Amino acid sequence: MKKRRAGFSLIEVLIFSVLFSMVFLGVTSAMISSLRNTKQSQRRIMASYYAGELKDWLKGQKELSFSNFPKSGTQCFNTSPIAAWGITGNCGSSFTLGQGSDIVFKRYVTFTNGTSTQVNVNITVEWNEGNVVTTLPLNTRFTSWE
Amino acid sequence: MKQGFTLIELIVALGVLTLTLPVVFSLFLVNLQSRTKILILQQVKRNGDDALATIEQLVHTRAGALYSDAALTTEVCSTTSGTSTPTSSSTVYMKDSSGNRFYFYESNGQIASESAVISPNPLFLTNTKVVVSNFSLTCERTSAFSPPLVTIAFQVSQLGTPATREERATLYYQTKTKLQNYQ
Repeated sequence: MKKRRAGFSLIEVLIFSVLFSMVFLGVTSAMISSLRNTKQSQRRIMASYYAGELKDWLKGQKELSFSNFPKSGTQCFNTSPIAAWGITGNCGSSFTLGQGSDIVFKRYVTFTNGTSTQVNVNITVEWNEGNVVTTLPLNTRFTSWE
Repeated sequence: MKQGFTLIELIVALGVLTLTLPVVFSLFLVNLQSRTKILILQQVKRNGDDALATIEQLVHTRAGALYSDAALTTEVCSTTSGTSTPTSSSTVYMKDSSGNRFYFYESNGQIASESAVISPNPLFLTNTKVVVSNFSLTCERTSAFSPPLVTIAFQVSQLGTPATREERATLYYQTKTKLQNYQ
């Protein structure tokens, strides 16, 4: 009498598909989280560039004329490259600064403790990462040596 | 009777694989692309930051006077009138306190600095992985009581022209500095 050999039993198929789907889900989620991380660091690089760009531009204006340089208040700089002074306020909810498909930033500067020779300059770049607002501050102090 | 897989089972298995594999591979590819983008962005930013800081610092601390010709005979921006201000395309030559000449210019997509006391000459401030364009170094004098003001501006882009706008990385740099040791 010949014994009939079946292909796989139900248990074998179940174990295989469970293992396969676990590995598959693991690989996929690792890739998605790594993609999110790279996007995050790309935004961080751009944010630090935007902060530095504004600092360089403000430094230029300081050199041009310190008496005309703002000693207090907040200004929004949502254009890059910078060509003129910003608009008053901290940009509110307009995240319109960015390049290509990544227009997610807002940038503003606050001037405090202004005297005739010194002023504190606090630059902030903000953007939404998921639902979390991420902030990159750049604080410096300008001095006029004349 | 030894029973293998039936045709139907093979087709189903292949169908499942053809649906899942592209998902994994496309994720992998997108990952690689954004990593490349980051590397390019880092290169562009590092070159730009470095070049701007170097030029600004050298002009601010070393330059004693500005000239429009290589022989250092025609001084520019020594008066407040706008006529002596060079245009953005011409090179401004600087003289330091020891009388040595140094200047910056754009050469084949790189920022070159030339000075009698450095070696190699010219010394490139950016590497060949990025392209510098619209480099300009101009000066102006706003009042007779303050030293000339030098404006430095340029843009740094990645090498080559990528197909999509999203991949293009161009950063603009501009700042102004005053001559600390104006003579």
